[in-house]
Amino acid sequence: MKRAFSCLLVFLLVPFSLQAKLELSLAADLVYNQGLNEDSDADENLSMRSVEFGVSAPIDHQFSGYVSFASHEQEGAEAVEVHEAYIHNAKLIPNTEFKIGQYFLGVGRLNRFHRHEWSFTRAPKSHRDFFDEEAVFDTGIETRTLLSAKHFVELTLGVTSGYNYGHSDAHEHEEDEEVDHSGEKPHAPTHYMRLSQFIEDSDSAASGMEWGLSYLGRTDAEGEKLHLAGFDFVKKERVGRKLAWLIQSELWFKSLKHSDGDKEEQLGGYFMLEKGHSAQWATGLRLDGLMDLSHEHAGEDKDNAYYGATLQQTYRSSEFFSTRLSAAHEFQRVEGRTRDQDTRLMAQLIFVMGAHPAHDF
Amino acid sequence: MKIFWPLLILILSSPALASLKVVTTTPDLAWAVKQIGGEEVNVESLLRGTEDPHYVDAVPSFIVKVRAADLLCAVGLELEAGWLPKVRGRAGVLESPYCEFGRSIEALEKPKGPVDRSMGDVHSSGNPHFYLSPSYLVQGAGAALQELKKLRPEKSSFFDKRYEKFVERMNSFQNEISQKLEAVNERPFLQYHQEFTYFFKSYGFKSAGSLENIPGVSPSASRLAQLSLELKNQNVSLVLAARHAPLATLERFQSLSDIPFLRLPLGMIEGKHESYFDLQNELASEILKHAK
Repeated sequence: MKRAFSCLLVFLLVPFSLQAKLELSLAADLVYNQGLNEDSDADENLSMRSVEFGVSAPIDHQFSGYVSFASHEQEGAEAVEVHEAYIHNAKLIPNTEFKIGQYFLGVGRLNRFHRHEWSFTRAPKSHRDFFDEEAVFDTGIETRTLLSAKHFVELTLGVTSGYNYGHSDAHEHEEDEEVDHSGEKPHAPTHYMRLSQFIEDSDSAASGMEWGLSYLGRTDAEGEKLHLAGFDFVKKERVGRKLAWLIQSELWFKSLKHSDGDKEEQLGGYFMLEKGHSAQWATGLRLDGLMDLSHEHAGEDKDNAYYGATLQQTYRSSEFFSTRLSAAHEFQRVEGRTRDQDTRLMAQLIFVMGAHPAHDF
Repeated sequence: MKIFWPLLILILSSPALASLKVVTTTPDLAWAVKQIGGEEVNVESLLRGTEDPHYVDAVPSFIVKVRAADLLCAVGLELEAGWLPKVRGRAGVLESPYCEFGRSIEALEKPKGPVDRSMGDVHSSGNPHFYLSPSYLVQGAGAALQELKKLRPEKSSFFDKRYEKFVERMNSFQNEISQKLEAVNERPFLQYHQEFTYFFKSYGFKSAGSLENIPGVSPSASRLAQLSLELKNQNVSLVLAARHAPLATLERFQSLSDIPFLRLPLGMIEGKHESYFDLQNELASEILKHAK
């Protein structure tokens, strides 16, 4: 029913867009996971991980708007959800832009981008545990202020309702089942900031690097306090049409204090290096790590550390179509023993139709 | 004396006296705007000329520069479609003064009928690589002239006079280079991508087509083989390509066809070319050196 509704919406919007100058885009993300060992939890299923439909346009002389719907399929269940729906303004406050509505929270690197725009297929373990398989979105207000025009230092501040934390639980619901996004009123809403700096390459304005420091906090309805602090880094070296080098990394510290006083602390992140051989072909390697720093767990049979490595080959036919083949191995080390080894192959296919996708750094 | 400092501050902060901040996407456009605006404009280019202007990200530093500009000038014809709308949106300048050089020219290779992505990197408004031709760059600069006059109407005649001189200098320069290149333009030239179409037209070169079968898509091995056979008796002088065109493909085609290739800058490079004339002189001398 929801799929039919989405199709109907698209059919209605396409002719309307010609009149209203709406920018329409559709991105599909098809993934196949093949487990290569017994412990692997790969679903061994070719599935349309998401189909995202985006609409953007000026609302009036001051505001612009963006809305995206995504259809997810997992284990036979499917749900359509609103990913983002916000208004944006960059005129009212000098050197400041803000958005109000529902959006992906502007912290770190991965969380600010749609999954089909990521440089790899599957989120690193730290992102899956600290954020979500995809990205955390919520409803609120986010501002981005330029602190130094000379050195491009930007401060992002945001506060969102905090009733829920994560992407959504829609994946776990059967088709047509209503998804409850209401959550419970938190003691402290989700609040976050990111201080970032961009440094342009001296030889080419198409190359540069950006680093950022992020913080996110929230106290839920049960009094569970979440603190996340992270560092993100990305460097791109572009030569003509070829992205010659991509270096991307995030390091996050998570502290979770339960209402009964128990405290969990984890440190995790990833480092990715990708070399472009041509405008079409690129080979990448990503190393992941996640450590449990909670000392009270050290003597017990609880998770101490996860490690992972992913080797991938990407082919980009154009800006609008890419495929990726990845081999990933993850395992857990507990009390000196290795367990939960997951070795898998992943095949991904992404295509974009409609409006020209924006080249975000 | 009491009014000296307030008066001085008023005079110095008067927008009528401050030079206009103009931001362009490429150095060639920046140079052209400077020729028209003279001391009335302060021009900066977002790109340095080493990039492929289509494959650029909407980097944060662009947003800063565009936000501070009185006027933004782009090549247009969808060349910067992947990043400039994003930069303008984030900078909050969608309604601010903006000019596209491409709107002032008679674009070549404008497709007839609807365009879709199966046709490759085809621009629905026509080929955007016009700024490699002096006469087309001058035509395009007409768009900047109009915007400068709107922003500083009291300086209209100043801008008009400078534009007229600019046109004269560019026409005379193009004639001079044309005469030099006459020595080699008897034989046809091939281009890798359709980046030299306007250049060929301005300097009277015969075009043997392009190596790419579908614009923006690397030619396949069979395309290279087929084209080398087709051009066997056409006496092609050179294959002209952008600096970042794939070397392996060009070398492969050279080995098949025995037609040499030459990779050239497609625009002014900051720190290398002081003026557009330097760029054109470099192109001409390289072609004269390598053409058969």
